[in-house]
Amino acid sequence: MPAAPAATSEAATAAEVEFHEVGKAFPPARGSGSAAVPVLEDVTFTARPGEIVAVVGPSGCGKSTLLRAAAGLGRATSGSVGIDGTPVRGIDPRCAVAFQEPRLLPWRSVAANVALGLPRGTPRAAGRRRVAELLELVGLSAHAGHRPAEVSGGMAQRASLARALARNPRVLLLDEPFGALDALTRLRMQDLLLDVHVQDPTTVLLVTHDVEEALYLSDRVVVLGRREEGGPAGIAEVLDVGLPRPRSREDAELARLRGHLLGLLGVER
Amino acid sequence: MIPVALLLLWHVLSTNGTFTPAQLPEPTAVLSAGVELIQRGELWIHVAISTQRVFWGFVIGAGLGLALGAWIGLSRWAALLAGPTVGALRAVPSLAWVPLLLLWIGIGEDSKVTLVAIGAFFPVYTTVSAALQHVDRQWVEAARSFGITGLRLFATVQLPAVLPSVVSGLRLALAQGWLFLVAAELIGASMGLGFLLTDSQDNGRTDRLLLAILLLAILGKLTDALLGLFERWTRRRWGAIPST
Repeated sequence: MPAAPAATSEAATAAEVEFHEVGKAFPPARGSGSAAVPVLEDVTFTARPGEIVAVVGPSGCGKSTLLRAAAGLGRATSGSVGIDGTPVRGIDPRCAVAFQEPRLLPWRSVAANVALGLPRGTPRAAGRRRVAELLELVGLSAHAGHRPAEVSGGMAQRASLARALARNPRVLLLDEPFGALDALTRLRMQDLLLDVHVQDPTTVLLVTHDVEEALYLSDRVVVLGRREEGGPAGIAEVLDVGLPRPRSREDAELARLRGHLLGLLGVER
Repeated sequence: MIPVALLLLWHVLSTNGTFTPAQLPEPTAVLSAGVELIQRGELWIHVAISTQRVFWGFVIGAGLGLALGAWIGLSRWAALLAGPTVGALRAVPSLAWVPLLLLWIGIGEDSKVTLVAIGAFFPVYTTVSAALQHVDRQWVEAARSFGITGLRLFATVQLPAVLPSVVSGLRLALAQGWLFLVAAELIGASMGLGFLLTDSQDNGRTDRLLLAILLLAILGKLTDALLGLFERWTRRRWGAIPST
């Protein structure tokens, strides 16, 4: 296990996240009389401590459901999620989430938004130091006093990431965090995430629809897919990327894996 | 500009014979009626008692509106349980309560303050409960994901989010408060600007009648301007853009 950075004395160590036969069914439309609609079935995999695991799959296959189940924001209808061996029940203090939208409170400054992520009971001075440190890490020190409406989408997303990190999470849950950004900003954010992970190597679960992003960032890629049209999704494959980071985006092996993944997702090569 | 033009028009219409002095006295006549009432010490009493009634009625009505609106806006159970009842009460034209209030509380101060409170209650209740139900769920969820719940969630997310609606609800409530004050004082009072209206009508003192109307306009505008200042402060403090 890598040593925690000295600056954050109580920096949490990375945790193991275990999905055990996780399934999700949505209640049927009212009055339709049909049974619950299963969207996700029997998902079992384990993210090892400090690992970056990407979850990819066609839209609507329940990628976010997995993440929300780990965060305690939504309940799986079957199976369980465990973090370091204890099941997740309700909002879990060991996890922090960054959503696809930055979800910053518009009346708070960027710094005050990041401070929302601080664990409860953080002393004022220590909290301020931590926020300043995180803003530095994501390159927002110059914008600490700005309101979200005054910064760009990429900056807002960086603030959202810093807010999640403020929680000292043992598991960082990222729900398509760069999905709404323009292509160039997205690439920069990916590199930023890797920098952050080197400094603060928590376990990262990253839901994305971008196959290249998944391959560039993660140790393993969990591919969700439906066995039959309209049926529930399950794990189609868990792909070991097995390349050291930082990686080159033009890496030949990544290109080969990309073709493989796209094939799994039903895209013609 | 427009007030000056209106004043000029008033002066012309009252002096060129279009209206008799009993219908529309000259502006100067209204002014001297005011001076006379000030010298007799009565004007101050009318203004003070009316302002006091509006103040207490507004504080009580808006306070209750905030509390009940927050409860019903935040709790789905409360909305199901109490929402329809409050909605039905709101459907009653508020002045319809007057006879009942007179029967129950009598003709004293309490019934007037109560009527103003009823007038102030509904705008605040309606705007607060509706605004709370429409607070961005994504903000609430994000805050919850950081372990922020209960009263802290309310103070951190919901309250700041609905503050602009609360303030516009308060301004509406204040306007309603003055409206209901006049209604209450027209019906039964021995002091206040509403009383001055009926009393002047009974005695054919159109100058005083106009004076009372002018004073109501000025007081309404003045108190609304106070709330306007509060609104600007909340915009600066809680708005999406700090300046302006």
